[in-house]
Amino acid sequence: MSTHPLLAVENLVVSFPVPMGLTDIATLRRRRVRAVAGVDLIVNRGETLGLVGESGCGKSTLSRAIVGLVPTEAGRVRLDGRDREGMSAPDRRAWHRRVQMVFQEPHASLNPRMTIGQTLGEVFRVHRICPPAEIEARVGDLLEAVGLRRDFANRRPHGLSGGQCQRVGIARALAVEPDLIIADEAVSALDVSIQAQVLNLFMELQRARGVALLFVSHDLTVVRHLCQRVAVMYLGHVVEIGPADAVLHAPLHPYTAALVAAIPQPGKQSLADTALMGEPPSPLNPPSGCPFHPRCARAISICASAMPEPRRIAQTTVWCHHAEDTPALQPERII
Amino acid sequence: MMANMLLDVRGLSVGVMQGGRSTALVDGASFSVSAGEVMGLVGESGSGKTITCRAMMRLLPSAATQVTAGQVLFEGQDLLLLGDGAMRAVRGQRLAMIFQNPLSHLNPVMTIGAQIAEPLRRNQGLSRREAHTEAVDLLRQVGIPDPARRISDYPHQFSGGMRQRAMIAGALACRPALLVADEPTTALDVTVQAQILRLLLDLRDRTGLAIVLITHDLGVVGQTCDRLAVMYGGRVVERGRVAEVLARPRHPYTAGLLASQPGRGVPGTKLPSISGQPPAPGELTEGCRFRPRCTLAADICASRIPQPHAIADGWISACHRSAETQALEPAA
Ligand SMILES: Nc1ncnc2c1ncn2[C@@H]1O[C@H](COP(=O)(O)OP(=O)(O)OP(=O)(O)O)[C@@H](O)[C@H]1O
Ligand SMILES: Nc1ncnc2c1ncn2[C@@H]1O[C@H](COP(=O)(O)OP(=O)(O)OP(=O)(O)O)[C@@H](O)[C@H]1O
Ligand SMILES: [Mg+2]
Ligand SMILES: [Mg+2]
Repeated sequence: MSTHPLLAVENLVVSFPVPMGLTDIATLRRRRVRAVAGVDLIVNRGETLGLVGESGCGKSTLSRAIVGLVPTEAGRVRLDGRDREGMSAPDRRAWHRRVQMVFQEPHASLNPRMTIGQTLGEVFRVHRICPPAEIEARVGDLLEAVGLRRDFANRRPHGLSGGQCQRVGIARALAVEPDLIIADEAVSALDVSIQAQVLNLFMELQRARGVALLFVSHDLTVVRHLCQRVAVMYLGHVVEIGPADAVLHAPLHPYTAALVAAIPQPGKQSLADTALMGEPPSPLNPPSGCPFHPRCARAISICASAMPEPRRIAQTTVWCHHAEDTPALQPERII
Repeated sequence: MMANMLLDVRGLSVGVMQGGRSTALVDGASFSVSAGEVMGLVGESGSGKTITCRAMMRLLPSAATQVTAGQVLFEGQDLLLLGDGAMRAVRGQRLAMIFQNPLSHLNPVMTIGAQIAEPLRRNQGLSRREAHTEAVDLLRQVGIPDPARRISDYPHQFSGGMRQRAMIAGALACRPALLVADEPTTALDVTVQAQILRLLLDLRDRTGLAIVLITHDLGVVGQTCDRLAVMYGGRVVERGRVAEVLARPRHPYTAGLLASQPGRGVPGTKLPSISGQPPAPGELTEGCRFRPRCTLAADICASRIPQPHAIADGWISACHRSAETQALEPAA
């Protein structure tokens, strides 16, 4: 076994062109949205890394860039130390087999004309997972594993409920027995009982086959249960990364603290008063210095002028100018 | 019956045509919502929450699915009896729905702004400029950064959660009396989610907006809903005030659901869930549809359909064993 981590993302940058507004035409500036602004991450074999952050901060774009669905502007993505760039076609195919993605909006990622059985069967065929005669049985097993009856193989995406569709997406990713699953809000449409079954399945795959998981989610309670480490993103940057326990119980970055304080709790009967102050930042026009400073209660002048260097505190890495000066922030609620 | 009842769904059934006969997807669902009230609709994935709401809105996804029985009384008239034109007018002005999967409900070749502004012009007679200003403001209210610029984006240029919020902005544009929100915050982080829920509750307080909120997040239910209806296998199995139902569920399915919430066990350990599988549509229609998975099941559960009955004031359960369910494990 190699000494490299399973997945290593190095200084990844992804940006999209945006239509020119009137002022841009006047100044002849071509604007781009920087959805991912230089991210470093590793995921080890058998590990689950949680990826959380504000809606629109770049989690899906990062995920898609890792699997090669959006072009990157800079940076590298390595699997077992090998960059996907410059690989031969067969190597590339093997790469794509080892890294599977479950998409955030499952309906849009399924072919409406194919039955679920055909969609899943095709995966087995393309990647030659098993002899053709076994495909039907394998498809049935896979459906059952995600809590769907075997006869779902005969149905088409149309008419599936939101959660049924999502489970087909999960089954498709599991079909090729990948080494890394990138799950983008993959259980958000499931009721808590079925969600528990799917999460148990993930944990089982991890124990039995050492599958690694990059788990993008807004549900911090689930993240806490499933993930060994958590990365928190804000406006295209990772701002805190460390053991789940530390990041979610004693956050060091003020944005993480705001996030943890806003977790809804069944026991509590009113909305937590947690709205972050100020306008949400625009990736079209990102703030100078620390991306969080316009909304940060602790911001001082350096925060507006310099991007914080990463600081290592215990096992957590945090990008905040104040990280050493303050004890861990106490969020209102501890999960 | 309450005086300010806005929506009263009575015995709503929806069937799908399969091989020449109709199979029930929703079977006799009943619930009501008053002005200024938020009602949570929860239940197993595939239990019929979306189909119930789409039937109410007269927006069933295909000709194969049709209402087979029941009434949907909204502001005193049965929506199921309205002509198409009258129904469109009600939908444009009094009723709005946020759909579960925004990508399939947003037009990919039309800008986000046009999709919000166009109904404003059609239904409220705003000028092009007024509708544009209003659309920018709505996007700002749902927390889209730089809304004046992002309004000319196409749906694929938005993130999942931004699309969800664009749908919310579009639904609020017509200032409805009733908002049916199907999982409106599944793609939102908890701070943006809190902001959106606060916006909705604020509208409720100021304008008497009533909301049917479909969600799997029981924490959200606890924080925002007044009452709750729980669906299983196409039927509403329990209904009541949120604080009571979440604290002491009386239907065994509700109890099982509450016990499956994550966050209680040691991280990394097996999570509790309800064992077994839900019935397929058309299966187990004779008695209680939850019985194969129920620890309290008795003979009667296989032979007779449990009718919804009051077990306390404003609390309804469809369980033959409701006398025994007092002892169900309360949610922690
Ligand atoms: N056209 C159809 N043909 C066959 N079955 C259908 C059709 N449309 C819906 N169904 C079935 O009806 C049931 C109810 O679906 P619905 O979308 O209402 O579920 P839901 O409660 O909203 O679930 P989720 O929480 O997963 O979104 C599902 O089992 C679904 O597969
Ligand atoms: N194809 C695209 N063209 C232009 N902009 C894009 C495109 N895809 C994403 N963006 C922008 O990049 C930013 C990050 O989007 P992304 O979908 O990665 O966010 P996210 O963290 O997954 O959010 P959510 O939690 O809401 O799903 C957003 O501002 C989004 O509008
Ligand atoms: Mg996303
Ligand atoms: Mg649904």
